Amino acid sequence: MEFLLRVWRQAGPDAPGGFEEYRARDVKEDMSILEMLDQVNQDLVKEGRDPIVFESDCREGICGVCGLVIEGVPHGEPKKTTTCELRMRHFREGQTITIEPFRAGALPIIKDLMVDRTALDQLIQSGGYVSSRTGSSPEANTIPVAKQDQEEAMDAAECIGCGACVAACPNASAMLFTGAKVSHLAKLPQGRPEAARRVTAMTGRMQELGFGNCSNHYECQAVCPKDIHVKFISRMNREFIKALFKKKN
Amino acid sequence: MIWQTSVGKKLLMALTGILMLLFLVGHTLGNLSFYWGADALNAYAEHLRALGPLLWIERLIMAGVLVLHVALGITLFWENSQAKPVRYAKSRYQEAGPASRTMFYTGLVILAFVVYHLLHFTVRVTNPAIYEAASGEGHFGVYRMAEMSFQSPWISLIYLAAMAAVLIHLSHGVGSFFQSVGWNTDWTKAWVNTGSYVLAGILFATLVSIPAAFCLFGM
Ligand code: HEM
Ligand code: FES
Repeated sequence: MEFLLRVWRQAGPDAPGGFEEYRARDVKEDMSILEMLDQVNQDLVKEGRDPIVFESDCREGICGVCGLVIEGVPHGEPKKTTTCELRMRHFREGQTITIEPFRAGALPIIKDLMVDRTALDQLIQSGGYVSSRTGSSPEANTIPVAKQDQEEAMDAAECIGCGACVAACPNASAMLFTGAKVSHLAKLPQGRPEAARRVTAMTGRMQELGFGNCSNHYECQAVCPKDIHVKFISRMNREFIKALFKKKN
Repeated sequence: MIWQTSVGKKLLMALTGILMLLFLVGHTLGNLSFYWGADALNAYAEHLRALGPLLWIERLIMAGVLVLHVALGITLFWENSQAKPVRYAKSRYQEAGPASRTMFYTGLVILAFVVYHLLHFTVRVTNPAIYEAASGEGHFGVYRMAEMSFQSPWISLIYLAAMAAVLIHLSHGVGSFFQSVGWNTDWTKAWVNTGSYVLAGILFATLVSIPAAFCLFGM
C-alpha cells in the first residue's frame, strides 16, 4: 500500500511547527502505523534528514506512551485501540493521513509528535495512591471485597495513562483520567480512609496544572483504548460532594 | 474548594441550571392557563402580581441564580479555551453533538432573550402602543397584551428563536446535570439523555404553542 502523510514537525517546545508531507511506500496492510512511521524514518535517515520523533515502548497496548492524533482522532478512528495497535488495513489505499501530536496546554510538545505527559504523573502524585504500613504483606482475604465492587474498581484501574482523554477533550480536561483513579481507589476498602482527601487534592491539582473543565461531551470515553466509562467521572463528582460535607479532622 | 476546582464549578453550574429549569417548568405550567381563555390568563397574571413580597423574594433568588450561572458559564468557557491553546488541524468529533458544543452560545441567546422578555412583558417598555391598548378597561389585560404582541410576526419569531435556544441548551443541560451531581451510572446515562430530549421537547412545544396560536390563528 501507499500513502501520503501530513505530519506535524516541530523542532522544540517553543519552536514554530508546521505540517510536512511524506510518501509512505511499500506499506504492508498488517503493519501498525508506528511500523509504517519507522519505515518512513529509515528512508529519512538514509537521505540524511531528521527522522520524525514519536514515542513508543511496549507496542502491545499496555504502556500508554504511544498516543498520536490520526485523522483527527487520538489513537485513530477504530475504537478501543492504542496507536501502536492500529493497523494500516484500516486506511484506504492512496489516502492522505494527517498525523498530529496530542494538543493540550498541560501536555506541551517536546518535539514533533512527542508530548510531555509529566502533568499526568503530577496528578497521580497529588493523591492517586493508598498509604499503607511497610512490613510483611498482610494475609490475603483479611479485608473482604464484594465481587461487584472489585470488578468495578478493576474496570477503572485499566487506565494506562496514555492521555488520549485529555487530547480528545475539546477543553483538555483530565476528568476521565482523574475520575478513573479516584473511582478505582474509592471502590475498595483500602482506599476509603483517604477518599475525601484524595478527591479534594486531585481535583484541586487538576485545576492548577492547567487542565480544562468537563463539559460532558464524552469524547474521552470514545477514544479511550481501554473504554473507561464516563460513569467514573460521575462517581468522582459524587465523591467530591461527599468530601464537601465531611468534617475536617 | 467549591470555587477553585472544576468539579465544584460544574456542581454549581448544575444546581443553578436545574433551579432555572424548575422555574421554567413552573412558568410553562402557568402559561397553560392561556388554553382556558382570556379570563384565566388574566386571573393567573393578577394572582402572581398579588403575591407582593413573595414575588420579589422569588425574583431576587432567580436573579442571583441566573447571575451565578452566567458568571460561571463565562468562567468555564474562558478556562476551557485557555486549557486548549492550539486546536487540531483536523478534528473529528466522536460523541459531542451540536448541543454540547454550543452551550455557551445558546446560553448567551437565552440571556439576551431573558432581558428582552422582561422589558417586553414585565417592565413593559418595548411596545408603548400595545400597553396603551391593553390597559383600556380599568385593569391591565395581559391576554390582550400577549395577543397584540404575538400578532406581530417579528415578536413571535424572536420568541421562537429563543425557545429553540432553550431546547438545544436543555437537551444537553439536563443530562449534564445528572452527570455533574454524580447520579450517572452504567445504565442511567442512556435514559437520562433520552429524558433530556423529551423534557426539552415538551417544554419547547408548550412554550412555542402560545405565540404560534396568536400569530397563526389570531386567537
Ligand atoms: C433558562 C435559562 C437556563 C437554564 C434552564 C439553564 C440550564 C442549564 C443546565 C441544566 C446546565 C447543565 C449543568 C451541568 O453541566 O451539569 C447548563 C449548562 C450550561 N449553561 Fe445554562 N441554563 C440557562 C441559561 C444559561 C445562560 C443565560 C447562560 C449564559 C452564559 C448559560 C450557560 C451555560 C453553559 C456555558 C453551560 C455548560 C457548562 C459546561 O458544561 O461547560 N446557561 N445550563
Ligand atoms: S507503545 Fe505501549 S501502548 Fe502503544
